[in-house]
Amino acid sequence: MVIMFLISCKKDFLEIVPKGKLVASTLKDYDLLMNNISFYKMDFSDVIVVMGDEVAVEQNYFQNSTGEVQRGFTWEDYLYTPGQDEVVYTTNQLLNLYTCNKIINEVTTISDAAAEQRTALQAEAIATRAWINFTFINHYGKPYLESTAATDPGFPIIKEANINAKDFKRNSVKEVYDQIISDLQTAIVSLPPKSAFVTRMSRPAARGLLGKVYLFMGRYQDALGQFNDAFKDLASVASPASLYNYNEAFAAGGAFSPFGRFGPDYPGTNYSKYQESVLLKTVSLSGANYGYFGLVMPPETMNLYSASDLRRNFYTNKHPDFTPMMGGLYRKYANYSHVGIELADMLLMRAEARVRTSDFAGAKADVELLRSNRMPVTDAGVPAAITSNTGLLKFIIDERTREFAGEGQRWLDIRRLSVDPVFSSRTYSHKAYAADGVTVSHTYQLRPVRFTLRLPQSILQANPGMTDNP
Amino acid sequence: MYKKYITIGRFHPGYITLVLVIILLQISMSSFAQKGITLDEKKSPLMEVFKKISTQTGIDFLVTNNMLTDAYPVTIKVTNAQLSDVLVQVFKGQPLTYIIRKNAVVVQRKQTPAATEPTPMSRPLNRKEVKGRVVNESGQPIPGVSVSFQDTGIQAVTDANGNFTIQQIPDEGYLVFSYIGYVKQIVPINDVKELKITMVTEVNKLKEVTVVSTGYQNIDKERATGSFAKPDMEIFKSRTGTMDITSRLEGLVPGLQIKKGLNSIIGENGNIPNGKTTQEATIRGASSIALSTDPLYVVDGVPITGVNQFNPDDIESITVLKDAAASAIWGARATNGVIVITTKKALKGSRLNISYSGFVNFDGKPDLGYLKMMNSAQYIQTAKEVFNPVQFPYQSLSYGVIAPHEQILYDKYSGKITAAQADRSLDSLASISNLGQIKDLWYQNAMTQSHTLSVSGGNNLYSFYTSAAYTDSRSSAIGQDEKTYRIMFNQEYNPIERLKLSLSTTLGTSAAKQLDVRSVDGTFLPYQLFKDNNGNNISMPYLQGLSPAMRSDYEQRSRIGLDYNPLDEINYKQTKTGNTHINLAGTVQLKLFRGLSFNGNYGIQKSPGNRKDYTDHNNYKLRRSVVDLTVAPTASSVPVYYLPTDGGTNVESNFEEQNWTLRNQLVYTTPLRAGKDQLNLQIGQEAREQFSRSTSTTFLGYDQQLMTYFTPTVTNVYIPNTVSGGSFISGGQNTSFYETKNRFTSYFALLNYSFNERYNLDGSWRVDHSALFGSDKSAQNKPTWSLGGKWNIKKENFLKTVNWLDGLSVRATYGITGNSPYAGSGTQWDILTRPYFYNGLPLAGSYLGLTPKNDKLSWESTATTNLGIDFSVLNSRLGGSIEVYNKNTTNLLGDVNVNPLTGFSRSPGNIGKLNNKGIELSLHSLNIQTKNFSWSSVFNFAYNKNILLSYTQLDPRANNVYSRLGNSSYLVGYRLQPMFSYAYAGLNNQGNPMIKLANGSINSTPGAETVGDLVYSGTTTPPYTGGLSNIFTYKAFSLGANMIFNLGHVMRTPVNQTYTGRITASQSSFDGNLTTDFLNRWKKPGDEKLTNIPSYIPGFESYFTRTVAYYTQGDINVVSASYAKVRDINLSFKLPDNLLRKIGVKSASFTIQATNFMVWAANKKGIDPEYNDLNLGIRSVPPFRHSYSIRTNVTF
Repeated sequence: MVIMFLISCKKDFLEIVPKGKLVASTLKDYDLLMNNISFYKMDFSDVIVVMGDEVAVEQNYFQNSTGEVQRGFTWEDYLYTPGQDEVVYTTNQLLNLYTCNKIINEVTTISDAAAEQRTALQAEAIATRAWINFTFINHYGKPYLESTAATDPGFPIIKEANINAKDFKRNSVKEVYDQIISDLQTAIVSLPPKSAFVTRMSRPAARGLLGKVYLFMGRYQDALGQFNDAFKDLASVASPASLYNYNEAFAAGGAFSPFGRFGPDYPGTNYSKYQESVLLKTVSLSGANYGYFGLVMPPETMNLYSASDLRRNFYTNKHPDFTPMMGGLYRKYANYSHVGIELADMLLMRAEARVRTSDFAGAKADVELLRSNRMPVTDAGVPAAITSNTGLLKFIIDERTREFAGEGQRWLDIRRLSVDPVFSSRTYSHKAYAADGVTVSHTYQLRPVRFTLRLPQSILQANPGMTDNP
Repeated sequence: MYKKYITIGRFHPGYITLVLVIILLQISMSSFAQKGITLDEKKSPLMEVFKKISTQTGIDFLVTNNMLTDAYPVTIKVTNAQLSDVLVQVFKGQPLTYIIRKNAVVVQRKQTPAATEPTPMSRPLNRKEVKGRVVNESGQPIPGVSVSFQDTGIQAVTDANGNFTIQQIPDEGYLVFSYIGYVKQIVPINDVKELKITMVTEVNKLKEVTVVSTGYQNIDKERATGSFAKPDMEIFKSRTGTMDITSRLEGLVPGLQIKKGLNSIIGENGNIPNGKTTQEATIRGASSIALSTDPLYVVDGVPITGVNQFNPDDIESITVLKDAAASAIWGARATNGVIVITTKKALKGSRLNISYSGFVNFDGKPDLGYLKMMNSAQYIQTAKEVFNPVQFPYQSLSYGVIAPHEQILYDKYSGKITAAQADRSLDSLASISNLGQIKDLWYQNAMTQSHTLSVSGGNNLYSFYTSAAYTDSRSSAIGQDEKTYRIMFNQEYNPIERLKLSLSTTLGTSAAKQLDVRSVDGTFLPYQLFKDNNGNNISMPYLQGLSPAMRSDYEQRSRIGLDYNPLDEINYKQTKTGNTHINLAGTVQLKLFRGLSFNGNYGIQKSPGNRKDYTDHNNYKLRRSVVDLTVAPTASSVPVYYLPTDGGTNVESNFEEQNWTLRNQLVYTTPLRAGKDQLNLQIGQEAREQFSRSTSTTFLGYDQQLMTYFTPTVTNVYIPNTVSGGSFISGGQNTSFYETKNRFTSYFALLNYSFNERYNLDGSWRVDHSALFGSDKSAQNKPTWSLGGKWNIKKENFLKTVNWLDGLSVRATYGITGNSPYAGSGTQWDILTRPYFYNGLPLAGSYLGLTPKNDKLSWESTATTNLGIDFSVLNSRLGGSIEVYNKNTTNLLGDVNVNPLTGFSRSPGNIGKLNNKGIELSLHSLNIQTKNFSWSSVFNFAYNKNILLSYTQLDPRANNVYSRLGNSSYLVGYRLQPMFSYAYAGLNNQGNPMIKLANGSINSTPGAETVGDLVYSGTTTPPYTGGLSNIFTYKAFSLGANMIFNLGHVMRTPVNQTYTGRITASQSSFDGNLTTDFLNRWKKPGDEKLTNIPSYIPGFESYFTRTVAYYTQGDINVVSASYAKVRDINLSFKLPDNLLRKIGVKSASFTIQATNFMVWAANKKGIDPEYNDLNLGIRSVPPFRHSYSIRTNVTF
């Protein structure tokens, strides 16, 4: 009794740290924060996927899909009804931004690790912040146009981890891009050429991203420099990201076998196949399989592939229950879309940067390098008819569709191309097919104003001064 | 013969007033009988003398029993004397006086004894001194007993050893010994110098409880200032329909509301899967929004996390602490009120007492008929009407549920069968009812039996109470059973006079088992039988959502059957839970010096437990998971299994809870001013620790007999092209841990002062600190305190002569209590939570999440004002109290809206104010009492009004029509649990519901409405609650009926919720049926004049064309939820004493009980609000209609 009395009077009686909880104090703690699943596995709804123009829907199935999928596909103003305003993607990335800012602002003050280690982790958080801001500006800011970027409303630049912060305003598109560039330039200096794991930021990934940012801004020369440096970085490390050669992968016993009823065992279905990723970030295409909502590839998209293109293997003309799809419609096997920095994307972006800076031969070599890994070498060449830079540019953009169809990339492309004189006259529409797979029951036109999404209602309500996009 | 004397006590209370009035009106001094009176009495009771005078003269005496208890025996010898002379002699020295009326003598108490009696100074000088000692029944000295010579001012008080000396008193007369809680003793002192007095505990006629316990001290209810309530323990004991201690209190304590229904059962420690639950309860309205509103349970002075580990039969008394003065001593956990339980102790000096108490309670099977669902004929007809193969093409349903009736309709549509074949098949389904099979095959008769044997006894040095109990409860789910064994051993030692030690030991162990019994009732497809004509169990694989073609493909390739046979499944999974509770509570009372003593309270609770879940490989889900990880490209290829195909999945969980509490107190008690005043002072310190931990380990392919298990060869990889597609095989996460520890330290002080026996003052002060990880300690430096006063008006001289009034006092209290936030919720730093492993990527670990920094989080604090009046009239036959209170809770914890751009949307903070006001009434009356018959009643009534004064701004996402309708537990400016509805305005000519908007326009367009267009319909929490108990006894029989009522709240009526989509079953659950009101839906234009029920539209597009909720959550579907039920009726029979004495039994009684009779419900639709989700309007199946039990109590 006396002992118990004494215990309870001791000063540290109340100083207990609950199990399973921790206050970050070591480099390891901060480092593990960057392993958080929310950084690399993003389960946002399929709205972005259904907004690209390369997809269509089967009305029979689509009519029973969720409201936001239907509204996204038809490019309506509001994707969410009031009360359903859960823009999961944005919410998750804002939380990731908090973590990045926390690391950026705190990690240099800890004392348990060498300065370079701390700076490297800080650089990783800075580059990740740039990646997050880049996705935000591509959701909520107008496509980058030098002449108006300084006045186009963008997205708030958030550099503090503070839950009590209140005064947010929308920075201009230019300010956001400038911030992204400056963050990436800062990070590149201290990032390692290879990260501990592919979900973590590395120097080639940051350079690839910076190249992409320049490309989206129309600064092709700057973009090219970054892509070249990124490839140099990749070449300098042991076992870098590398392309699957589909000619081998689809062969018997190859990397993509077995080729079962659910498609080949490839990165789109198997999470563990990340060989082509420079920075692995995936979103799941949750509607693509059992909760099938009727997303299909129309003939216009399938016709982009030549007969021997092995990427055709990623499509099936059967429904998930193996009943045949009517009229020449196809659907993709993929369960995942890779939205980080992919080697194929870097190659095609460098090709684009080259052709836009009049390096026809270089661009042709890049695109043929990719194609020779996607089909028999004999068919991989750029068609002889294509001799102009513009012709090759259009071929490269189509190649992007062939590579990434049904994975959401196309939406980002048509956004940026809408301010590109070569493509700006194009209009986009969506088709809904009737049960026969041929009759088009509905057609929906994309209005240019909807290249920019409206802000989530929760953000607008918490920031009354903020104006929404039209 | 007319009555010669009247003792008021025998009349009905209402009657008495009448009699008094009549008699007092007969004011007349006219002649009365002049007959001479002859008496020769020696120490005869005053009443006897009155009787004799009455018989001789015909004069009536008007006197109350209460007065007679104060009267002294009379010694008188007169012959043929005048009445007036006789009365002078009889009343000499009595504390009574008299007035002679016409033919009656009205006896009254003396106004001021000192004024009518000679003062001590004027008395003759023959004075003496008397010494003595006063002890209680067990021989313990009683300090503070008032000793007075008759009712003069000559007084003394016993000291700490019970000794007294009274001086300067006459040689002859009486000494009066009085002490609260004991029967007043009157002792003649003729020729006596030395006295030993044994005082006997007062046993009140109406069993009105005299001592209340705060868990820190026992206070005489007479002088307690706070709001204490005690339930009638006889009713508590008789409620054998439930073993839940909380449920047994329903309707017995004004202001204690027991939430009914299955949704209100809470686990006693949410993190520990020990299966122990309690019904939710609130005292005087909810005082928190974010935190638990359940009261704190205290057993033998020690806070307890699982009150149901105790056997209700071991409980001696319960005190409910309602206001701050009563509960503030519990500090930061007292806002929700405190329920203080005292277990049985032995009486000292009593001989060995052996008693048995046992009951069998029979609940039977659930009342399936309560759900108003369609029968098969109605269902099939409806399904035919709404079948739509265009909107829902068959080929889109390969992975969905296709119910048998749909399969027929699709087959007919596709031409596989003819229309005639289809109709025949559908007609045969329409003629089947599965309710009989459901009742027979899915339910067993629920029963509980419990037996307690107890032995108690003791002498001055040692006493004990010990009991052993066995409880077996079998729920209505097949194979579910729990056996509990409990032992209690309470001991008290008095090794030396100044030291008292007590130790209470409770040991309980229980073993429960349950099978995989699914909830099957009338909501399931009404035609789907579970056994065929030959008695074989029926397989219904469609319920698992694969089309027949798909299933057969899976089966062929995996070579694993995918039948789903619900009755077979019952035995494929079993759960066994074993729990042990060890509870030790010890006290030390050491008298140090004069009135100073040391009290210590020490409690340790330890509850280890384990749970074993075994799922056989035959279980459907296990078979399915094997199939999902089997690679077999074709039916002819040899399947490669990645998961074991035999054995089963075994999950073993171990958990333990370990709490200790220690409390050291110094108590100083002293009488002041010669016993007129009493002072009690306490200071103390308390420390507490709560610890719980659980681990859980999962084994696959476990062989129960050999105890071998399967170790996966590949883990954490994706297996492509399995039978069902591709899947990750996990492995790493086989063991999980959970652990939490919290500590508290507190310092407290208590003060009780009673002045002149009339004015009482109570005060308390306490400061609590808890181990809130990373929080700012200064935020916790908020003491709780209380102050209370009581004025015992009856003891004032001006009321002494008001004879019909036995007691009257008023009380007023004020104080602050708290409610503590959960550990780890407030912090000065970002808190990282434990690493998390994700299947598929070889990452070394990560942090699952992050709680952002948020310091200065503090307790919710509640300031309570309580005013009360206690009264007792007409010889205590009618008594009760009225209380009003006002509770203001500030610093309400809640989630503050955070700007979502920060990365977070909500964060806890101290925001908001809540007010609870209310009035409570409790009355007890002895309505009729004759020699053989009595009728007594207890009535409890409480009104509570709470209103949320301010709170966090609603999350923008919640500040919309849908969330306000759906689940709103609060809204600023309203009572808690407000219900909002649409102002329903009928159907339009397409059968779509319309509402009236705030601007008066009629709307049917979805989304056109805003929150401002909703109407407030009331609250789902009853503002009026209470109970009425009546007990009738006739000779050895007693009949009790306990009614409860909940009034003034609202509910949604159960209406059909399905107006779109397919009419089918759903995956893995047993539903699919619709309520009968769907039959009356709008079908064609013009129907809108006949019905309010919207039309059916097949596709999801209807979400954009109309809002069905306009109807389902319209105000026409809101009705009053008020009701009153007779919770239980008991009939008991006590065996006659003379018979028992022959067989050596002290007492024996038998009770039969029946429960749950609806007396009245405000709604006209046959809804029992206890079995309706008040907010959503969905009926749930009552677990039984009425329960019946039989109970026996025998004492040897």
